[in-house]
Amino acid sequence: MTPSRLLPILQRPDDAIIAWHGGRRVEVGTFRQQVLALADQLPPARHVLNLCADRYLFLLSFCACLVRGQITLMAPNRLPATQSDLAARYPETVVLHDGQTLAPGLVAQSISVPDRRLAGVLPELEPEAIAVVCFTSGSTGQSTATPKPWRTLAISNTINRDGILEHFENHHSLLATVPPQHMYGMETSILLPLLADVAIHPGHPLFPADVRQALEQSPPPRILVSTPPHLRALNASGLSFPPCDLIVSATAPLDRETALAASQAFSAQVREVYGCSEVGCIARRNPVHTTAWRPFEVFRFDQREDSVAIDADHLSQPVPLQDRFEFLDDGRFELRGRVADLVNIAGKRGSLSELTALLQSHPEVVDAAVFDPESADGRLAALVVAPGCQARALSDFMRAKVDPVFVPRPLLKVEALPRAGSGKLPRASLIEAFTRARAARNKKA
Amino acid sequence: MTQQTAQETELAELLVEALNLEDVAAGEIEPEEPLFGDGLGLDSIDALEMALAISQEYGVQLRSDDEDTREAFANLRSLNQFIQSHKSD
Repeated sequence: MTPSRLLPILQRPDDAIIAWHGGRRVEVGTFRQQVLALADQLPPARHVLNLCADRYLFLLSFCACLVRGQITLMAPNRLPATQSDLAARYPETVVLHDGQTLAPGLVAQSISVPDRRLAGVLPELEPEAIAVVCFTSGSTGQSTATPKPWRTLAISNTINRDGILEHFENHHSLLATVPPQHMYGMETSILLPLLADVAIHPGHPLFPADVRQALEQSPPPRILVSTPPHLRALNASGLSFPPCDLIVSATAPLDRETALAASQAFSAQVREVYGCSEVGCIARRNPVHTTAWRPFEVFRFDQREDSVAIDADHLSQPVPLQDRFEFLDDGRFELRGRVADLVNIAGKRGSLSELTALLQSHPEVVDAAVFDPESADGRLAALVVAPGCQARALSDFMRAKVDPVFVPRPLLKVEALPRAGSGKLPRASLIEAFTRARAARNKKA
Repeated sequence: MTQQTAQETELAELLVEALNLEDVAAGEIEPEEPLFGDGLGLDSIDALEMALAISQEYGVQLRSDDEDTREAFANLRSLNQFIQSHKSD
């Protein structure tokens, strides 16, 4: 059997700029030596939970883990409960961090830029070596894990560079408003600089004034990687921003109005990307001009009964997608809504059935349903039968276990859920019960 | 609970309205109760909405070095102090 060809971690010349940190440029050659030094300092581990908020520290430590053959678990959030769940599920897990609150009883190491550097080249990796594990939704206790071999990430990286940076291949500063622990942030701000000519900003700005400052710190030309809610906030802020060449948006559909306003505010081209954690980026469009998506050429779509599965040579197996597709004659497609269970809030994916199961797991809860009322603020709602317990206690219970954006608001107590004899909960009955419960609550207030 | 000052009440009312906090009466927000996480239970979506409402109402831009750094906005009292000290007039 012919040995598989090893794959490099880093494919850029030593004098290229890979990041800005502490106000100074970091060249690839320096980065490489810092990775080797840090790899030397890491404790033994099979799995790693990397909580680092500083994007450069995440990049450094992620690559050090690759060098050591340690698998990064893509935790859906930084909650201590999630850290404990993942550590219990994955043996020999170490937490890497730069100041976050840690779950008790876990081996942890604080990450900073190493004082020394080690000369040498980064080792190349076995294509099938698992580099990361990502999870299908926000509750790790029950969600499916997708291990990703380095080969898949390396090939996705090439696809992304060609698909996302087309016409923008010259050197750019890159600022992301998404966390590196999330697959979208990992692909665009951690993997991409290993291959493409971008230099990442170490921050993770939240407020519009922070985004402005971070862009001012980033030498032009610039790329901004963000999401629709963030872009809406930037547009609404009334601030003036430094110009960008390109704005990349993903995780939820970007409406034309927001895209147009952003393109004007930043004098930028807007490029929206469609994808999912299991596969990575799949298609792109410019929402200012069109609603139709153009898939990247490597992908094949297989229309099954209720859903569409996507496949490509670099994927271990076909992956069912969670949206409804309408294919056009020229190979592009339109999206026609989601297949039911998964929701996306503030760029994070959650499962209604998992969230419902979580609520039902509370000892005082007799019955519960978490659902998407399709309200203006995009939040989930819940109806709960829990005679012995306050709604507030149930919200607190959920908030300790999942990202706060998934905590239903409102979470309303009712006497019974409108289940049919079969136990099913038709959406129409649920919405009706919800509307009644809400009106009753508002009358009392 | 410690009493809200007039400024804190005004800010609480702004938050309840801007963040659509249906379950909360503005006058009942404890000035030193955490806004994020346990306490009032606000999240990152609220943070952006809050920044917008505050910039429009008070002309003050909220800042944060990091998504997790919310010392100035830890509670109603500290948020009000931040706003008052950054207002231009």
